[in-house]
Amino acid sequence: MTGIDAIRSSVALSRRDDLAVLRLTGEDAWDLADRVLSSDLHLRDGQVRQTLLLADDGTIAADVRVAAEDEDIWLIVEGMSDVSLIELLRSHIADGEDVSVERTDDVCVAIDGPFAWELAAAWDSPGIVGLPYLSAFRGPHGALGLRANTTGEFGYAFFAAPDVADRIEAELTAIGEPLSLGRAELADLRACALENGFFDVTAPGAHGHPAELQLRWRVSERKTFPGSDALRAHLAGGLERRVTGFRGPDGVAAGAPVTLDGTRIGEVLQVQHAHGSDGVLGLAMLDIAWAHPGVDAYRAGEHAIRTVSRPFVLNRSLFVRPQTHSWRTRDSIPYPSGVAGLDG
Amino acid sequence: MDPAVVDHLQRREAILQRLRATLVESLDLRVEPDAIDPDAALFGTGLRLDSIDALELVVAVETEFGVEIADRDGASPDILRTVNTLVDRIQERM
Repeated sequence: MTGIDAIRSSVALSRRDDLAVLRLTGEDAWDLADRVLSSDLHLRDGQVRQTLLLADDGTIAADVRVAAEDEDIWLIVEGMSDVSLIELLRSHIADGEDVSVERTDDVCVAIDGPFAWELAAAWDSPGIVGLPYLSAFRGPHGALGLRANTTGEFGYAFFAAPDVADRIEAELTAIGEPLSLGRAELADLRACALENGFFDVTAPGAHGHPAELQLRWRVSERKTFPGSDALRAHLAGGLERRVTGFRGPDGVAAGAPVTLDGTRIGEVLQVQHAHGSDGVLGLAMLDIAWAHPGVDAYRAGEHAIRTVSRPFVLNRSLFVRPQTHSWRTRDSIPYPSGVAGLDG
Repeated sequence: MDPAVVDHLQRREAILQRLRATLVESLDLRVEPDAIDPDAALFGTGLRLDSIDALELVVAVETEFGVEIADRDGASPDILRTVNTLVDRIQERM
């Protein structure tokens, strides 16, 4: 079973050491995070938000998950090194403020899949099943846990020092064996993120403007933060382009011009094989008048494509009820046709 | 240009604008309608609606557009995923 198959049909374990994990402590930790991050941080203890760090020109610098734990703030950051991140954060600390920025060497061990909750419950406690999406909690061995993954399936990420992560990985692997636990690599996670419409800061074109990338929901309309003036100036004349999902045949390539009747209307940003079906799926940045799903008149290079609404897949997790279903009884769960992982 | 494409795009844009306004008004969202991303998730991330909002959303959309988006068993999970999937449903049934 491939990593994507496991994510879409059972549960897959992954390990990542590419994320910067920082802890802000002190009475002014929340103020510092709110000052630097692009979202309105209405965070209660145990909540997680997906937000951004913007560059001064209003484009995306980094993808951030922010979590509140008592008075501490955790930042899980992708797209910027921890050194640059610490330098940026410290430059925004005002004289006399009580806040310190601590770098950790934590790595991430995650489980994703329609039955990830069953593994998490067996390893941690049944109570973990009741945690809503975008929750932060403490798991076994003191690991910081986030229910905030980006595969579209049930997902739990645990952050801990490498030696502790080794133990977590070993325990999950042993407990997960009866659930057909698979192994997912970073490429599998990124592929699933694209299938489900999650932002990938490492993808081509990802360091663009949040509104063009349909990430305006991560940007406050009210507060001032790095890049906010440039972003508002960019939007003042109206949105000119918008990223749009598409499906097409094999052969469509990133960077290909998108045309309508021979006139260029955009460019393919990202493309990947459509797992479990023929052809490819991807994202194109289209001039705003043409940036709608449901059009099959566009061409990407020499290939006809059809624009579609995201997400690209119907997740099996949408039909799994932890209160009544289980991996053992999975064949009795009434999935409709088109659920990802059933045909692939 | 194919008139069917132009018609599709115009209808799509009109539905999107009406849906954005309906979402803001019926759910009392603190966001400008134009700032709602078409591919933004309705639940979890994006607009961060909850199960109570879901019921109000279905009633408001069915009232505004005069189409059924929920069947007897409720709205299918693939319809209430993003603003765009909801537009898909409305456009299909109008």
